[in-house]
Amino acid sequence: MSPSYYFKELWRYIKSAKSSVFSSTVVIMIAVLLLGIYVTISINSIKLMKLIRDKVEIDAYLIDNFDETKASSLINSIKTIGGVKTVKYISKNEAAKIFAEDFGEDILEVFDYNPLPPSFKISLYDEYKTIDRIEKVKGELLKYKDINDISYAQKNLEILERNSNSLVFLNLSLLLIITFASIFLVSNTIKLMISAKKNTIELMKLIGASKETIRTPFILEGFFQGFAGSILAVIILQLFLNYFYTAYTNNDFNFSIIDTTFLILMVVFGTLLGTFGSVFSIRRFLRFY
Amino acid sequence: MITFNKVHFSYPKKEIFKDVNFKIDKGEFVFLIGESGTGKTTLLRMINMELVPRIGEVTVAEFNTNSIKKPEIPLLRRKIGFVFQDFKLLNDRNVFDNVALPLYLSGVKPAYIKKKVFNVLNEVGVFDSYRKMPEELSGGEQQRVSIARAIVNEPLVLIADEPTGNLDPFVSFEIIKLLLSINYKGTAVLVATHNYEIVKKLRSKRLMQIKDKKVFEVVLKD
Repeated sequence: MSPSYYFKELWRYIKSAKSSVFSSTVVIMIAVLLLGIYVTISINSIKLMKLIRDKVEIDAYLIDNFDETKASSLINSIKTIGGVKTVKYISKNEAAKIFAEDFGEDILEVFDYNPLPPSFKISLYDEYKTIDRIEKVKGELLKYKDINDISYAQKNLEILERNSNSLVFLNLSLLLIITFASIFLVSNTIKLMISAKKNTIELMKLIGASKETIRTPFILEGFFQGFAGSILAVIILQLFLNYFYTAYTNNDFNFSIIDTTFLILMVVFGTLLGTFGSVFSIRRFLRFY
Repeated sequence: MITFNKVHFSYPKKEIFKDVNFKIDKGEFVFLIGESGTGKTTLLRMINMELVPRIGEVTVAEFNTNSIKKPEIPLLRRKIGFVFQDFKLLNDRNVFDNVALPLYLSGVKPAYIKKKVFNVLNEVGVFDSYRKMPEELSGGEQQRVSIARAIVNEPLVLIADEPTGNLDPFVSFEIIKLLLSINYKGTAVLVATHNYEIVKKLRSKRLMQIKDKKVFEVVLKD
C-alpha cells in the first residue's frame, strides 16, 4: 500500500471527526503539561531544600569582654574541628553594622549601648549540615571558654530532615500517578475516537483490507495527535515558566526552568503516548478478523 | 466454486447448522431464503470466513476453512463482493472514493482505478453522482453504489444480504434486475432475501431454503 493512501485516509479521518481529534489532542496536551509542571515543581522544590541547607551556618557568640587579639588564634583552632569549612570573626562594631542593615536602625539609638556580642560565623562542609553532626561541632565549640552561646537554624534543619524522605516518596508517587493517569486518560480518549470509526473498520475488513492497511492510518493519527498535543504543552509550559522565572527569581533563589533536553523528552513522551494509545486501542477491533 | 461439506455450526448457546451440504458453481444465480434467525446471514459470513464451521469445511475458490491462514483472509475477501441491506457506504468520502476503495486495497494503479470506477458507476447507473456524498443519495442510489463497490474488483461471487430490505418494491426490483445483469456477465450471485415476491417472479433461478438447521433445494411450482 502506498504512503499516499495512508495519508489520504488519515486526512479523511481527521476531517470527519474534527471534534474528537481535537479533544484527544487536548487530553494529550494536558497529560504532557501535567508532567512538565510536576517536573518543574519537583526540580525547584529540591533546589529550594538545598538552598535552605546551604544557608545553614553556626553563629558562635563570644563573651562580651572578648580580647580581639586572640581572634586569629581562636579561628585557627576552630578550623581544626572536623567539618568546619570557614570561620569569620564578627566584632561588636560589625555586628552593629549588620543589625543596621537588617533592621534599618542604629543599635546605639535603641539601647544607648551596643549589646551585640562579638561572634564567629562558622560555615560547614555540606555533608556536615545535619543536626547530629552540627550538635557534635557545637559540643566542641562550647569547650572554648571564650564562646558563650551557639545558635544555628535548628528548626529549619529539623523540618528538612523530617520531610525530605516523605518528599522523595511523595515525588515518586506523584510521578507514578501522573504517568498512569495520563496513559489511562489518553488510551480511553483514543479508544472512544476509534470506536466512532467501528463501522469503517468493519467494512474495511469485509472488503479485503489487511490488518496493516486498517491499522496504519489510526497509528499515524495517534502519532500526529501526540506530537501536536505535546508541542502545545511545551509552548504553554514555556510561557508559564517564563512568568515564574521573572516573578520568583531573586538574589536568594534562582527559579530553574527545565532544559531543552527535557522539553524534547516531553514531546517524545507525548508522541509515544498518542502512538501507543492508538496501537493498543485499534488492536481490540482487529482481534477477530 | 463455493462448497459447504458436512458443515456443522453453533453459537455458544444455539446450534445453527447441522450437516449442511451444497455447492454453488461459477456463473450461477441463487436465492437463499429462510425465516428470521434460521442462519442466512451466518451462512454468508461463513463464505466470507468471518465464521468457521465447528465440524466440516467451507471451500471458496482455492481457500478452505480448514487450511486458510489469517493473512490469506483479505485475499479471499477480495474475490467476494458483498452487498448489505444497510449499504455500509462510508460517509467520510464521496461515491467515487467509496467505489474505488477495494481497488486501492488491492494495490491497483491510480490511472486504472479512475477508468474502472467510472465504468462500473456507469454500469450500475449512478455515474452522474460520482462526486456526491452518500447522504445526498436516495436509498436505491446508495444500494447501486454499494453494488458498484462490490463488483469493481471483478469478484468471483457477489453476495447480497437482504439487498432490497430497505427499499420500496419498485426500486427493489430495479436492484434485482441490476444483480441479474451482473450475473449475466458471468459473476455468480447469491442473494439472501425475505422478498418472496421477487423470488416468485424469478422462479427459474435456483432457490435454496434454510430450514431445521439444514439447507434444501426448493423448486417453485407454476
